[in-house]
Amino acid sequence: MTRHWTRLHRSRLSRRSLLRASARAGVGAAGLALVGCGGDDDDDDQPQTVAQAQPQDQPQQQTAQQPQQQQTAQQQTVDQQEQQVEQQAQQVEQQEQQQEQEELDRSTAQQEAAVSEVDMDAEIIVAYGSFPPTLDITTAGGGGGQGASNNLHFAALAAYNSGRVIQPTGGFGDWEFTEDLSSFIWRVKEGVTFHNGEPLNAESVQFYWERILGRAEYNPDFESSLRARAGWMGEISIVDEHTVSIAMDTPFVDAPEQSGGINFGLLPKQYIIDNGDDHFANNPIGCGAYQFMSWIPDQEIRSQRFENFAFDHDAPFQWKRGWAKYITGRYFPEEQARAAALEAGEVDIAYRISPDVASQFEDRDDFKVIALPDVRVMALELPVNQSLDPITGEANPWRDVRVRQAANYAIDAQAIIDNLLTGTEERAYSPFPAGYDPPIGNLPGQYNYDPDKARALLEEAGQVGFAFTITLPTGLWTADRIWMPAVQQMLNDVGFQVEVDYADFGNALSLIRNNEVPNPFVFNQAGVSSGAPLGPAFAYRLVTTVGAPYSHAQETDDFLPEFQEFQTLIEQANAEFDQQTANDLYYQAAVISYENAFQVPLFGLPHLYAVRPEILYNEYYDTSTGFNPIYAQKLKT
Amino acid sequence: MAAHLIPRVLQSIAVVFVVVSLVFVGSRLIGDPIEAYSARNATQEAIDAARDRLGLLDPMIVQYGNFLWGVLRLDFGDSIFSEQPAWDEVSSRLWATVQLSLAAFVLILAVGVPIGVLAAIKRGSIPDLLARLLALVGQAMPNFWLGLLLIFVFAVQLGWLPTSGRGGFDNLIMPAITLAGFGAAATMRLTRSGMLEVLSNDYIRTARAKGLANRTVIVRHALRNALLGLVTVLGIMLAQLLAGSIIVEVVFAWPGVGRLIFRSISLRDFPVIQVGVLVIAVWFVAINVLVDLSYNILDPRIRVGSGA
Repeated sequence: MTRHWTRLHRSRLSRRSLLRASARAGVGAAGLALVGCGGDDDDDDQPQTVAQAQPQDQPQQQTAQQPQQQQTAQQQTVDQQEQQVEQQAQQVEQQEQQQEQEELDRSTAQQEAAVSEVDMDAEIIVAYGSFPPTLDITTAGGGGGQGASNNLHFAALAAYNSGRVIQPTGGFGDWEFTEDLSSFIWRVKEGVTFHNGEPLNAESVQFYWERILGRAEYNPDFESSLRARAGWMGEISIVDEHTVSIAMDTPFVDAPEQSGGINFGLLPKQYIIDNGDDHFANNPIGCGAYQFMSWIPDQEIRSQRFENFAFDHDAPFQWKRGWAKYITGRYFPEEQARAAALEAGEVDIAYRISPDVASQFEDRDDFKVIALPDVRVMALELPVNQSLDPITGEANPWRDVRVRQAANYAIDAQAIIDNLLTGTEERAYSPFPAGYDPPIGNLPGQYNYDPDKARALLEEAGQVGFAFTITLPTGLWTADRIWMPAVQQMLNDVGFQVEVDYADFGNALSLIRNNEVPNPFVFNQAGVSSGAPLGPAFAYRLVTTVGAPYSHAQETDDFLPEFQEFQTLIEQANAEFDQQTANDLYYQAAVISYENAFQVPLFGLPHLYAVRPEILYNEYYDTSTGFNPIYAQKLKT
Repeated sequence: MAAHLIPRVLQSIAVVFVVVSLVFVGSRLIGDPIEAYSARNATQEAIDAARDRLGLLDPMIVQYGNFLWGVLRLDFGDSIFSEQPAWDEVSSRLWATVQLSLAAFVLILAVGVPIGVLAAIKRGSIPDLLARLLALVGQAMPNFWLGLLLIFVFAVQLGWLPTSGRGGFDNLIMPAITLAGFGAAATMRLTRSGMLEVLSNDYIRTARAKGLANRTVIVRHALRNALLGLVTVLGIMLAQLLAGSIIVEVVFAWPGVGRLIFRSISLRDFPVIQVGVLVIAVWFVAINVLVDLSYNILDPRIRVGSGA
C-alpha cells in the first residue's frame, strides 16, 4: 500500500542524480542500437565516449561471422560502456560531492562568522496580526497567541524533528507504552526548572494534566480548551520523582501527541496553586526559552531569554535556547499598519503578511522577505451530517454529493495561485500535503476546475441559487482577504450564492472548536508532513471526524452512510498500533472522503514574513506557527 | 439648579435600569450561554455542572435578581473567552477609548467650530470655499483610509510620529485626527449653517447698530446662540465616539474597548457584552445629562427659576 504515497511532482532531483540518470539513459539507448541494428553506429546525442568506443571493436566482431559471438561481444560492449558511464557518473558524483562539501564549508564558515556577530543583547520586536486573549496556554491554545506567547514562554514534553515527527527521546520527557498497552509512561528530563525556579518533575506533570481535565483539587472548575484532547487519560499516577504513568482504558495510539505535544505546555504546580488561575493567565510561568516580563492586553507582550533553559542553541530538535535577549511582540491587527511599522523601523519582523505586502519589501536592500512552507492545506469544510440547513431549517443541500462536487469543480485554485498569490503555492487536491496524489478511488479523476460541470451538477441537484455563508478566520493565514473573495466569486459564478464572514481568528477558532459554526468554514488541514510515520492520510482524522478539533461532525449528527463508513475506518485506524495497518485504514477512509467530496481543498499556503536585513533565520520546524522568534538572530550593526 | 438636576439624574438612572434589564433579556434571547461555555463534546454532567455554576438552573426572576445585584457590585462574572472578570476586561481598556474619544472631541471642537464660524462670517470668500471643501472631504473620506494615509505620511515617510500602538502623547495624535475627521467636518458645516442663520437675525443687526465690536457680536451674541443647536449634536457625537472607535482602534492597534466589544459579540461572550453595553449606556446617559445642564449655562431662558 505504500504506492499510495508516490509523490506526484514534488520530489526534488539533485543535479547529481539528474546526471546519473541521463548517463544511464545513454547506455540504454546505445545498447538498444547495437543489439537491434547489428553494429550500426548511428548514434545520436548520447555520451561521446560510448560512440567513440564502437569503431575499435566492430571490425573484430564482424570477422568472427558468428551471430552468437557477435551478440556476446555486443553484450560485452554494453557492459563496458555501462562501466565507463558508471565510472563517469561516479567521477561526476565525486566532483559534485567535493563541490557540495566546499559549499558546505563556506556556508558553515559564513554561519560561524555570522553567529559571532549575533547580538546576544538585542531586542527583537515582532509585529503580529493576532494576539492571545490570555497568556495561559491551556486556555489560549489556538487562539492566535502561539506566536506571541505560547511558543516563547512554554515548552511541552515531546520533541519533534523538523518534519514534525514526534520523537520518543530528546525532549523535556521520553515516552513509551507499557508492553500490555494499558499505560503510557513519560519520564521527565531531570534538572529542568520553570522560570520561577520551581522544578519540573512528575508531580508538576501530573498536575498540569489533571488541571486540564478539571481534576486538580485547587480548582476542579477550571475550563481548558485542551480537555477534549486529554479525554483519553485514565488515572494519572506518579511512579517516581520523574516518571508519570497514564492509564488507558483502551490503547490510544496518539498518546504521545495528546499528552506531550506542542499544545500541552508544561506549567508550574505550586505557582498556580499559590497565585490562582487569574494571576497565572496574566503572569505566566513556563519552562520555555523565554520568560514572561510584561504584557498590555491587545497591545504588547515582552519576554526575556531564559538563561537556565534546558537546551542549548544546537540541540537536535525544536527546543533550543533563544538568541535575542528580549523579544517583544506587538499587536497590529491591520496588515498595512504592520508593514508600515516595519518600514518606519519600529519593528524588526512583520509577521504573516500577504504576497502583495511582501512585494513591497522584495528586492530591497533594507528588508528581506522570508517564506516558510506549510504542509497544511487550505480547505473549505462542508457540513454534511446535519439533516437540516441550520439557517433555513430546510433539507441540508450539502448532503447531496452533487452539490459538494459542484463546489469542488467551481474553484480555479490554480488561477488564484498564479494571479493573486506568489505563484509558488501548490494546488491541493486533497488534505494531503501538496504534491501527493489525491485518493480518487472510483472517481474518473481528481477534481479540476470545470465550471460547466459544476453548473450542471448544481442544476441536476436542483440547487442553483443555494445560499450559504463561509466563515473565514482572518489574521493568520497568508493573504486571506485576497484569495477568499475570488473563491466566493467563483462559487457564485456557477450558481451558488455565497456570503463570507471574515471573522477574528481567535474568536472563529473558539467558535469552530465549540461547534458553533454550522455553516461551511475555511481551515488549514493536514498537519502531518511527509516524514510523519502515519503518512498524510492520517490528517483526515484531524479534519472531518467526530472528536477532531476543528470539525463539523458530532456524535449526535445524522451521519450519511458514507460518512459513517469513513468515521468507522478512522476510529479503527486511531486505535491501531501497527503503523502500516493504520496507514492503510486511513487511506481507505481518505478514499471515501474524496469520492464523496466531504471538503473542497484549495492550496497550500506559504507563510511570508518581512524582516529587517540584520535578522537571520536559519531554523525551520514544521509547526502551525511557522516562524518562531526563538530561532531569530539579530546581527550586530 | 438642584431641583432640575435631581429629577434628571433619577430619570437617567431609570434609563440605565431599563437598558440593563434589556441587556439581561437580550443576552438570554441570543442563545444558550452554556453552549459557549461548554468545551467541545462536553458530557451532560459537565454541561449540567456549568449550568449550575452559572446559576442558569435558577428561576428567571432569581437570575434577574442575581444579575442586578451583580451590577450593583460591578460583578458581571468572568469572560468566556479569557476567563478573566468581565468588568476587568472592559475597565482595563476603557480609559484607552475614553482618552481617544476625548482627544478626538477636543479636536472636533478646536477645528470644527472656529472654521465653521470663519466660513460663516466670510461667507462666499475663498476661506469659506476652502472650509466647505475641507468639510466635504472630511465627511466623504473613510476613516480607515485617512488613518492609513496619515500613517504613511507622518510615520513612514516623515518619521515624525509612531505608526500605532498606545504610549505617549505622540501615539494619540494620528488616531485622534482620524477619529475626529468626520465629526470635525460635520461640526464645521453645522456651525457654519447655524451661524449664518443667527447672523441674519434682527438682534445681531441691533447689536451691530449699538456699536458693539464685531468680535463681541460674533462671540457673545451669534456664536452662543448658534451653539445651542450644536450642543445636542456634539453631545451625541461625543457619545458615539466612544462606541464607534473600533475602526480607528484596529488601524492604529489602539487597545480600546470598541475592539473588545466587537470581538465579544462575535464570540457571544455575554459577560463582556453586558459590561460593554452598560458602560456605553451610562456614557450616553451621562452625556445627555451634561448636555441638558449645558443648556442652562448657554441659554438663560432655560435656566430654572429664570421665569423664561
